[in-house]
Amino acid sequence: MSVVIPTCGHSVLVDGVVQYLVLELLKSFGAETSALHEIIVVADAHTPHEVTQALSTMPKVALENFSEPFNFSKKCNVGARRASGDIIFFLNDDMLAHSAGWVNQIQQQFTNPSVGGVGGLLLTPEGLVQCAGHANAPRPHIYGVGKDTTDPAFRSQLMTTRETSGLSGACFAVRRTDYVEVGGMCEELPSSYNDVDLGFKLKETDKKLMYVPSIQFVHYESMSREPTVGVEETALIWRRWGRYFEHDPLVP
Amino acid sequence: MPTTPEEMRLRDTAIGLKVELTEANYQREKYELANAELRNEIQDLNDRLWMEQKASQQAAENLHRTIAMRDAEITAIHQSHTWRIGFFVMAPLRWIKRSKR
Repeated sequence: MSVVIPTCGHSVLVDGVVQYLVLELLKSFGAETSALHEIIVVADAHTPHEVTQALSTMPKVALENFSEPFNFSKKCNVGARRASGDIIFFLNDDMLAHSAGWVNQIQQQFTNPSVGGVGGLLLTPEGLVQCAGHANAPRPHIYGVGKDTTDPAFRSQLMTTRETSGLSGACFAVRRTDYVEVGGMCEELPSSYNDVDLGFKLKETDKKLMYVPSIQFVHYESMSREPTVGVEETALIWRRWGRYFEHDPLVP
Repeated sequence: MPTTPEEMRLRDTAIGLKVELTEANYQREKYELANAELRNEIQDLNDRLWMEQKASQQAAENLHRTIAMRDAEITAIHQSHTWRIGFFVMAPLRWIKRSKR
């Protein structure tokens, strides 16, 4: 399995110490790193030198430079083309691994040939749900935002492995062959909805998307960029998949 | 990966165009269905309006006919002998009333 991480080397100040998000993410992998085939970090031209230097010393990490204007999809595609593992796991750089055994759990899901995509439970730093898959009606949106996984009212829907309507691009595993077959992430969706589109393209090939809550990451959502949704992106996603936004049969 | 960026883009574009066509057809069918339903509804309303107008016209005609009949009956009563006889029968009573004042 290859992990692909697009980054521009953003950092945060923790107790007065600069911490680079991508480096913290890689450190959080811990023992999982040994189960990985490779980690491809797609770094913008303005990624700080300290980051690229640190990355070059890390085991299994390959650095891929990206010098074009911001386009998340393009960065993912660049990383995917470089990847040689049978599964590609896209991760945002503003994440931290929060559970063990995720490499094995992702691989386990892909032993089922009808599975096309796998994603996990993303938590806020406070421990609430940031993303538990996507729901698509009346428009594509993140499912479970702000809910507490320990709340008995939501526990079963949030903590059960299930088929989902969509997965967050922040944590999206896909077979390399499937990814190529559907043309990767749509580069006309540089910022938003690229994950929604990828999910639908995989579903068009009769593949299922699986939400696996035992795969957990803490997501510092939009810490590395401004959350904006372009008008053209919204128009394109509706032009392609609008019929699926009328009713979502997979919402728990 | 034996795929160039251009190939990836072309695959995405091909799938994108295919699903956009499917989506456009779906929306067209949806609007055609909605239009047909709307047309049926308008036709229904037109039919009901026509029936209401017809019923109201008939009711007006019936009313005119009834009024004409009643009018004829009243005229007939006025012109009848009964009315004249009554007039003469009541004449002495009217005279008694007048003489008491």
